[in-house]
Order: sequence, then structure tokens, then C-alpha cells
Amino acid sequence: MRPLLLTSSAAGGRPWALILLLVLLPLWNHPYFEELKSPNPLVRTYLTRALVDHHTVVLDKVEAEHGWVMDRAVREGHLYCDKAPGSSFLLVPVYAVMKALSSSGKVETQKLLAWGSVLLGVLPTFLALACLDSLLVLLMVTRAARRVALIAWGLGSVGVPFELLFFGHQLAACLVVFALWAAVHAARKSSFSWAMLAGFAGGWAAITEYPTTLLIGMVGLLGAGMAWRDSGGAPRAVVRLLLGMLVGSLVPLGLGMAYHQAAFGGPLTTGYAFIENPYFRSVHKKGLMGVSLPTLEGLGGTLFSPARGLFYFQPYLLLWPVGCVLLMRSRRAVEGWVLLLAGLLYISFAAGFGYWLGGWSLGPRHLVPAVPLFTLGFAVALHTLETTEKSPWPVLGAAVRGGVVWSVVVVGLACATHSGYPEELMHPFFQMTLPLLTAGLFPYSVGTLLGWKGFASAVVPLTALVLSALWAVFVGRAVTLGRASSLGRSAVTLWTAAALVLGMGLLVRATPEATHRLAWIIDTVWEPREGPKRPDPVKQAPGFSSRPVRQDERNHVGRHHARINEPARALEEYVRGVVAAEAGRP
Amino acid sequence: MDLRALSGAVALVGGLFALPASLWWSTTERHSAAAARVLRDLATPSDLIILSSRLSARPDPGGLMRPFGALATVVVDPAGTLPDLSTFPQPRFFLVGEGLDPVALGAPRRELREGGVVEATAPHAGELLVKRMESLVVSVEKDGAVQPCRPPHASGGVRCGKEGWQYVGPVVIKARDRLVACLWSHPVRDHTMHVDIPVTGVSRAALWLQYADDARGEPGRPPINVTTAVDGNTVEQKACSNAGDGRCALDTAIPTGARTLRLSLSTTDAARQLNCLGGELIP
Repeated sequence: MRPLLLTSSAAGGRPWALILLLVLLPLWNHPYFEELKSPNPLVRTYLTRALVDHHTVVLDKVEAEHGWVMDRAVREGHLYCDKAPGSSFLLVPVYAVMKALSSSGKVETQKLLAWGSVLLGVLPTFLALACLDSLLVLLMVTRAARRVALIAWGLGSVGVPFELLFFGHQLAACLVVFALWAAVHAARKSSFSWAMLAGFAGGWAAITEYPTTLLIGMVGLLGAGMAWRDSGGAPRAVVRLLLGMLVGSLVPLGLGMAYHQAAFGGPLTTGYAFIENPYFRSVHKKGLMGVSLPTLEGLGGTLFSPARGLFYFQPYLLLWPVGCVLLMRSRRAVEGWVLLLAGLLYISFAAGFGYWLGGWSLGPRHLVPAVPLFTLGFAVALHTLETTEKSPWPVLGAAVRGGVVWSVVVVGLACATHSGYPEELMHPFFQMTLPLLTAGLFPYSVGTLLGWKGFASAVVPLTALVLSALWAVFVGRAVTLGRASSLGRSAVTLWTAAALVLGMGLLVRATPEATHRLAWIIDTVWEPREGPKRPDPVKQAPGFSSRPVRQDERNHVGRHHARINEPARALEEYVRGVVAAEAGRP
Repeated sequence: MDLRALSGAVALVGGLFALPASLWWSTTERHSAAAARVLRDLATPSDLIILSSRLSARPDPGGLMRPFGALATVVVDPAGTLPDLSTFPQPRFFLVGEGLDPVALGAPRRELREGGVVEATAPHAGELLVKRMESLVVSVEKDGAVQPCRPPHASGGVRCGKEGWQYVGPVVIKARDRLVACLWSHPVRDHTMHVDIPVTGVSRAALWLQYADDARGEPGRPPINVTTAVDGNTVEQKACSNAGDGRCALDTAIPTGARTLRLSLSTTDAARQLNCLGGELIP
């Protein structure tokens, strides 16, 4: 039996104002720190430059022109991008236009990354939020729960930082949403062209972040299941959908394979097979492309740790399996099972990946493409909690919204300052974001472009953050002095968020690594800078002055510089520093 | 408005304040704030701040995770190995937190400050040898051939051989169950090591050679023979062994007008001779 559907008019229309509000912060801020040479986005732009400037996939000339980059593959003495090429391909027209408009014919990396993040991070997220809302309408989720879910994904998710930073993960997440949205429409309308669109988006997701192939497979399964169910068991509908997806994916997959052939000698051979960094090479050699069975450490770290845990940053996503079960029990078994399986599969991948920590990141970046699917399950659960009148479910629903407010505050403030959390930080929101915020350190933004400084430069994103949080509190609640239940539930939401902040704050302990790392970021890395830049202590160490410092070396030396637990070493360093200073050496 | 609605309204208004308040609370310094305030006004970069690991130091907004700003700090466990402050070159030390007694650390004078800060003044009568590295001339000699030891060495000192331990430079070693700041002076095999110290204006060199705890009491090790000479005239010859507390006093009166004090170190077997030179040059 075909499930009930909500008409567009009953759904209340697309919440464009909210969607715009949610992308205001990533649209406003454009963090860039020259000192970091963030390798993941940088190497993606190198491939784009190589394609446009030199008509090749080899990065040798680009690296000679723009400097060393860590994330690279080396094959037969030549350098290549070690990442999936999808985002670099999409950046090609952006770069070509920028280059054509530039009087010098050159495009600065900072500008390229900024426009890359706007057009391939913020814009896709804007569109994907609309698609997500459309999917939630199809799942019969109430207007209020839909709005809360959009806020949760739009400003409270671990994918938001990657809108700002031109990594591939949020773009891949958006492409997964597009594929899902198109596949659902293809199944409902039995449309070959919608299926082709789903395949095109899915194929592009696969060549943007390879592991999303798992999710696209699940999207295909969902589409096929829905087509089978909605057509009353007609095999032709299933074949049409899968064939359409396959045809649609030919272009992106063909491009990806051609790139692999040209760069790495085989259509299915990726850059990870030739990765240069010995540590990452060793990671990718274990299991299947670095993925083995999930470990307890990987599961704990990826899901629950304050440093990277998905359910730490987005605790309400714990309701995702509940939402899946609710779907299974409401004539939407296909949707429920596929969302559950897709989530479990992707968690297994992320927790089984040898480098689950994922470098400098807010949250588990490898899980980012799956977060929209978790959000769908969460929205269904929230809808059920808030529409069940029997106590205590509505109050629980109000508390769950508190989790969303916590996410918006944590992720939003991190994105308003610096969302690349270093590996040493065990509780980064409290160890890094709040100190940066209280010091008034904000990154490059439209505000700094206008000449505004400090807090003034961040007024717009901080306002957007506050409004989004309040929206999550009050949406769907007619808060008037006569409505005790609405007042009480809004209060529960706010107090839950406050309790989460207080509770998590109590867990924080100052660590030497955090102290050292934050001091280094402020002294040496931070941009825009008003005071003089202090020399990087790592680069002052013997052997580092003549070449770039690799991230793993920096981490290693950073830990040595940290002073607690190694007093002898620290004192030795200090004595050395005193002697050197007295001798007039820097 | 009924009582339930009124309660809900109060709770809601409270909640609107609770969230920003909880964020603010999470950024505040609750334990070492007083100490930080005192030290920011008082300490200078030439001082050394020693924090007890029993101090519950937390980040504070002004200090940006470094409650004491750019000031040099070290953290020590009062139950672990503590520094012998009399060997460190800083004129003042500030001790913060439980379990740190300046007298026990070798700094007898103490003065209490507010905020749980203890100020200790270093008991130096003269200038510490460890601060004089840049003015020292170090060389090694074998069969009459003299080779100067040259910088750079990572310690800030000079290198006297190819092996990692063959150098003279500032170091902190564990000796006599304390962390001791001194000049590493491991002998070079089959060579005599000369350390020339300018002593113009110095009336007494109260120096010492100290074995590291790692080598102290190790059986079968020959002593290090130390010859002390002032302007080329030998004034003392001493065999310093690793027995007892491993410290060998090298106390020399410097005649008026003397220019150089030379310490010459040699041994029949340089292996495991983990030692350093320290002490003071008194005007």
C-alpha cells in the first residue's frame, strides 16, 4: 500500500528564510591561515590549477609555483592529488572564470578557497536543505520538527565546518541528499529522468568522497524498494529506476575513471595507493583501503568522544535508530530499514578506518556524508515525541530540542572562530573555541573585508547563530502568557542546553597539549593578525628551518614542547632559551 | 494567568539567561585566578614560575589557556623529582599550588604573596656557571694536539665529538634526587677536555662536578681526574668518583688579576661518565 503523503500546501511551503539564515554564517566567514597550509583543501585546488593552467593531472608545476603540500601521491617520480577528484573538477569553471577576470591572470589561494567554499560548500548546502525539507514532507514530519531538523543539519551538524573549508565531505553530503531526493521522486513518479539525476548526483558524490559509494548504493536500494512498493510489485519500475541511476552516473564515474587511469594507471586505482606520507601510507595499506572491522576505540572515538564524537556534537542523533524503527512500523519499512542500514554501514566504515581521528576536524569528518540520513531518522523520532500527547514524551521532545540548541551553539561558535580542532585537544570546544571567542579572535570574513575588527566583524554570524538557536526553541510553540505547556517546554529546551554546556564544561581538564597548541595558533597562525607574529617554536628547532614542517612532526615536537609531565625536558628547554636570549640569539 | 503559566514563564526567562550564563561560566578561571592576577603584575620573563601539578589550573579568558601569559612556567609533581632551584639561573621563582616548599627546593628565602603564590629568591652569591656558556672556550686534547669544540649543539653549547653525548652545554639532569641545571661535560674517550672560564673580576670559583643519578654508585667506573689551573698554573688535582652523592667540590680562590680558570677533565674509561659542571663564580 502506498504510504500517505502530505500535499505541498499542507506542508506549509519551503522555509526559505530559515534556510537563508542557516547558511549566513558559512557565507560570511572565510577562515584562512597561511601558516597551516591546510593540506586537504589545498591539494584539491592544486589539481584544479593543474587541469586549467597546465592541462594535466600532474601537480609538479603547480607545486613548484605555489609551494609544498603534504597530502599528495607520488607515482613514477611525479606528484598527484591523493584525494578523490570530484570537488577539484567542479572547481575548474570557478577557477577558470576567476582567472579570466583577474588582471594579472593569477588567482590567490585564499580567494580560490573562499569562492570554492561558497559555490561548492554553502550553495550546495542551501539547495540540499531545501531537498531535505522536501524529503521530510514526504515522511509526514510536522512543520515544527522539520524546522528543527533543518536547523540541526544546517547549523548544528559536524558537516558545517566543511562548508567553510573546501573539504569534500559536506559537498559529498549534499550530493547524497540530492541523489536521495531525486531517487525518491523517481520512485514516486516512475521517472527515468529523475533516476538519471539521482545517478548523476550519486556518481559525483562517489568521485568526491569515495566511501559515499556505500551511501549511494543504499540510495539505489531505497529507490528500488520504494519503486517496487509504490508500483505494487512491478519489476519494470525497479529496473527503470536502477537503469536510470546507472546511466546518470556514467558521466561522473567515467570522468573519475579517466582521471584514475591518467594519474594512477588504472580506472579503479586511486591516489591513496600512492600516498607519499609514510604514516598515511601505512594506514591505507591496512585492510581494504585503510578500512578494517570497526574497533572499540574507533567506535568510541567516532561516536562518543568530546574530541570527535558524532553524538557528543549532535546528541539528538541518538534518536536516529528510533526514528528508523518508527518508520518501519508505519508502512515505511523500506525507508526505515535503508536509513538504519546506511547509518550502521557508514558508522562501521568510519570506526573501522585506521585514521578515524581524521586530523584537524570538528567531529568525525568521515561520517559527514551520512549525517543527513541520520537527521531524517531523528526528525521522525522528534515528530513522534512532539505529537504524542501522553506524558512524558512531549517533555522529552523539548529536552531533545535542547540538544539541537547545544549543537547550534557548539558548532556555530566553532565555525565563527576556528573549527579545525587539532588532534591533541581532548575537549576542544572548551579548550579552544571559548578561549578564542572570549579573546575576540575571529577569522577573515565579509566583516573583515569591510574593515570591521574583532566582535564587530562577527556580529552577523553570531546574530544568525542566536536567531537559529531561538528558532529551534520556539518554532511550533505558541508562547503566550496563557500557554503554560508551551512556556514550560521552551524552558525545558533552554535549560537542557544550559545543562549540557555546564556538564560538559565540568569534564574539561587543562592539558599541556591544549595549552601549547592554542598558544601556537594564537601566536603564530592566527589571521587576520593585528600584533606581530611570533616565530613558530617548532621551526626554530634544529633541522626545521630550511624546509616545511610536516604535520606529524609538528604534533610530535608540539607534544615535547608541552611542559607538564616532562619537567626535565621543559626546564632544559627553558635554560637553553635563557642562555640563547642572553647571547642575543632569537 | 494561572500559577502553571507563571511558573513556565519564570522558567523560560531563566532559561534564556541560563544558556549564555553557562557558556560564560565555562570560560571562567575558578582556581588559579588569584595566582594569575598576582603573577601578571609581579613576574617578569626572567623569572620562573613553578606550578604544582596539584594545582587545578583551568583556562581563563584573559590568559587564553595560559593563565600566566607569556611567562615561563613549568609544572612539577610534588611527589616526583623536584628542581634544585639553587642551580637554576633565574633570580626569582614563584611557586603556585600545593606541596611546593621553596626550602625543600633549595631556595631558602621565602615570601608569601596573596593567591597562594610563594615567592622565592634564588640563593646565588655570584653568577652561575650554567649562564656562562657563551663565554667559555672548550677544547679536547690528545697527544698534544688540541681541537676546539665548536657550536652549534642543540643544547646551545658546543660539540666535542661525533657521538651525541660528546658536548658541553646547558642541561638539566637528575642528580641527588633533584633536577639540577648545569653544563654537560661528559669526557671524550682518550682525550682530555679543557673548559676555560674567564674569571676577570672573580675572587672565588665555587664549582662542582656532579654525576647524574643514572651513573651514581655504578661499580667499576674509574674516577674523572680534574685538574684546576689558573692562568696556566695548576692549583689542584682531584679524582672525582661516582661514589656517595656523586658531587665533587672544585673550590678555587682566584688571585686578583687572573684571567682564565681551566678545568681539565680526563679519565681512563669515558664510558658511562654521565656528569656535568655547575656552581658559581663569586666576585
